[in-house]
Amino acid sequence: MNSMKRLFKDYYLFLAAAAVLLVLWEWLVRTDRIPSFILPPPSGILVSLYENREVLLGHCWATLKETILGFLIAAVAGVSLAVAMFFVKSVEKMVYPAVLISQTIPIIALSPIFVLWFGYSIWSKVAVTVLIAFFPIVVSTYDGLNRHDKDYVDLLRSMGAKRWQIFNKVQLPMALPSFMSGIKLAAVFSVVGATIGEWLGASEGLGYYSRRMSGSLNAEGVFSAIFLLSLLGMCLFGAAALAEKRMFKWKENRKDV
Amino acid sequence: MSLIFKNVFYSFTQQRQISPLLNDINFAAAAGEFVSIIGKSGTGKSTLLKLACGLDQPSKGEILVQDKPVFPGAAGYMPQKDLLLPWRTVMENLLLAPEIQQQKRQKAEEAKSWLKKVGLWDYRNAFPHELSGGMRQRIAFLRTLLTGKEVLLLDEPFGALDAMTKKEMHQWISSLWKDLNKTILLVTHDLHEAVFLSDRIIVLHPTGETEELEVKLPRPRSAVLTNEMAGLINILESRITNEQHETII
Repeated sequence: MNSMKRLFKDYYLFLAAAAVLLVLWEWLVRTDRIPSFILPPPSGILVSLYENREVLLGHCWATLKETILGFLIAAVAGVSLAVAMFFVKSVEKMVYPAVLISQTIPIIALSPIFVLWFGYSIWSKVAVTVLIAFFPIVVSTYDGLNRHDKDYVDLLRSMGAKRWQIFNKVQLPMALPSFMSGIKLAAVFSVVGATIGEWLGASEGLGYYSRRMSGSLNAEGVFSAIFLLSLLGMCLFGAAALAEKRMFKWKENRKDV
Repeated sequence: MSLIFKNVFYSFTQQRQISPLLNDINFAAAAGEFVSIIGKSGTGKSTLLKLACGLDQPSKGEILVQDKPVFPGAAGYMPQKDLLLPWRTVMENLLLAPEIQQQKRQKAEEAKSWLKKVGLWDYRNAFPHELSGGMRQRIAFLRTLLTGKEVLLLDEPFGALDAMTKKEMHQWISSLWKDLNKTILLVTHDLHEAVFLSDRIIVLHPTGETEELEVKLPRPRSAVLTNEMAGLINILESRITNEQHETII
């Protein structure tokens, strides 16, 4: 109950602004100032969501699958690469520039290649997702590992700690805040990745659905897909934030952080 | 002898120039002796301690801890900042060194009895940020004790504390130390601290030379400044500042 109260206290201004905007939006469309095939009214989107709930649920599940799969692969690969770069300087020198350069390539331009390689299977979408989520995870984990306090390392060395003990007891815990920021970003980006993948070639998923609806000039359909995608992103972000809060339970009632 | 510095030189390279910091340092600390090293900042006090921990290598010379060449883990080290791991409770912090030595279970009882002895038992599950500065330093000292080493190296451990807390800590340490039978090497720039706690004081000069002074005051020593203490502090101060005049000329 208390947490609900706090949530309300933190967000009531946002909620009020959103409510005003929605009412304004609804009014603009209802009074025919904007045609509803350009901008459907919020009520219309809700009706469309409700009427197509079963179809949408299927597409939602397809997108969620791609997102989660891509996110997990990116997390495992990203963390492994970051740790490898941290331990072996020559790996860092070799790979880090490549990781940076890979980000300058527009992912959307690469997607047709994935379609070429993986066809219309789930893997072409997963590949785009991995590519998008990989970067924030690598960079945040690697930065976090490098940001440890050298004094702590000295303290552990003075206790006779071995390299992996120092990593385990100091460097890894100290990298967690930065790592979790990367995870939160990647969780949101994963949804974007899966959607882009679906646009370029898919037979299911919310990205595919929104394109099909756009093709048939069904604005309500497009908007309901967008609404669900954003909801998906928020849920994943929320899950990551919750995991973070669990992880940093010791920080509770700490004032200086 | 628990700790021996034999002809130790240390220099570091700065902007391609080799700057000597420690010049032919010789001293030894007997088992159970409390030795302080004082000197102005920049005389290499902390470096000397790092060498004694085995965290850094001397350019020349030999350092023996318990008659063996020093290696990381040979002595217990207490840094200036408490460096308690913020995500670990007091108890978990105390057991850090035993964990590294893979003796966590054997040392848990010892850690508990220490916490009870110093009256911090109620804080065993508290996190460092919930403790006061003085408490944190006490825990950091206990953590150093729980390394189980005979030689303890303290690097200005009370430098960040306020004057009152510092005085309390001096009493606390000296009361603990008399039953510990450990060799302690304390680096400090607080002359009163050095005189109150030590058996012997080594003055480190900016030239890299050293001078020794015995403190022959009976223990337990008075918390209030006595004439003898003030005399010793004056002697130390003149030794340190004389050096300063010489270098200016």
